[in-house]
Amino acid sequence: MPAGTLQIRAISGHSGTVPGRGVQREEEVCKYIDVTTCIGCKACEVACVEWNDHPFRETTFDNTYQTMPSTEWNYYNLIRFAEDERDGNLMWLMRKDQCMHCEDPGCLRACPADGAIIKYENGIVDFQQDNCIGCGYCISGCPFDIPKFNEKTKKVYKCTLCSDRVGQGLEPACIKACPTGCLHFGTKSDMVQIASSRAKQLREQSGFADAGVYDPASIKGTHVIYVLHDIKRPERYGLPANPVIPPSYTYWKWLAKPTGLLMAGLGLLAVFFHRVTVGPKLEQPEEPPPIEHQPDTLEAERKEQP
Amino acid sequence: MVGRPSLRALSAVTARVARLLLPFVEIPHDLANDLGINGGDRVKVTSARASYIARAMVTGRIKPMLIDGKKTYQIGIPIHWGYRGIAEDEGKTALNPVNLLSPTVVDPNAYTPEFKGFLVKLEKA
Repeated sequence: MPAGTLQIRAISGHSGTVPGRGVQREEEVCKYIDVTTCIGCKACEVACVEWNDHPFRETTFDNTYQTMPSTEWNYYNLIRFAEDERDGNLMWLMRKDQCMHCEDPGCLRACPADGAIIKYENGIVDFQQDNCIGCGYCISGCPFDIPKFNEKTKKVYKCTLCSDRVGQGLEPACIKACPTGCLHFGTKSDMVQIASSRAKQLREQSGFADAGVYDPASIKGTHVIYVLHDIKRPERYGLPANPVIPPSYTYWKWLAKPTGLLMAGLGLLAVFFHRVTVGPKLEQPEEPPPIEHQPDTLEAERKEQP
Repeated sequence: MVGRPSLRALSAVTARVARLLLPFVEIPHDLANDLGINGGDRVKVTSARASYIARAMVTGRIKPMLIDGKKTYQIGIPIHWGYRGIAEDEGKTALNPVNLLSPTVVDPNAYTPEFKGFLVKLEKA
């Protein structure tokens, strides 16, 4: 994958067109995970930790092969195991869980800090920890519960889709490490095409009548897509069926926040105009001393006079 | 400390082992119900040669067998572990590796163990 950001648009003193201009047909990248061929070896987990130079993190035993209950600030991707028994058939489902790099990211919408979350032209959503203020809004804004907070540094972390590798034309570390080839990386249209044909193959030849591609339109698509055995019930894999950004963030950013600011601005204007037209606050006369308690009902008067 | 290797020093395979959990024994649902074992409990597996203590992983992936009308179960210890690690040192699991349970019969040239299926007793530890 060529690096998209430093493509030349114009060259001084050069006759003719810029060589190679417009050759790259598409910027958007995508990671395609074929859940049906995953063997749960966790090479991707190891590769991610190695590439990002994270320290050893103790594993948790919860009666499954799952390394820990959820992704962590120093553990960006996790294979989720689920034993699903339906109609007497047992299926051992394994799904690689990490940031979905949504086209309409909830974390980005929720974040109030300038430059803390960046979405690149190629679709990767990256956290810039230097600008992060540690408010944690991205954590609740994410429909997939991915970003995780680090108590020590007070910053939030998640999968970066190896933006540093992709920027140099390499594939992400997890994809490089996968031994079965169930992880693929390429342009979004290519990956959607491969995923669709795989889902079709599963439906027609492998007896999975409900196989399909998980690329939810409710957040305008994601840059990480899955092929699932059962697209009708993504909850079996721990995926939300219709992920949405919590509406409170939209209301806050586009309604409550601007309205509040507007009210504050109008209030200041009102104060100014009142001062100019009606005048400044005048000296108030001294308050008379407080009157002794006066009985104001007949009953009270009768009580006071024995 | 042997049990806590740095990630950078390991090859991908052994690092993947570090991603695995405490030593565990895979037990079918039915057997676990019969013995009153819940997932995560300490169990003791005893063979004719030695005993081994690990956590129970109750799973539906192993189904019981009906042999001569009698319900027979198979339990699995798919990872037989190796050097002592943090869990062993903290007393969470046995100090013996699983290899002590299997018959000590090996190929005289290659030292490949003869057999990895054998009769054991399973109980709560």
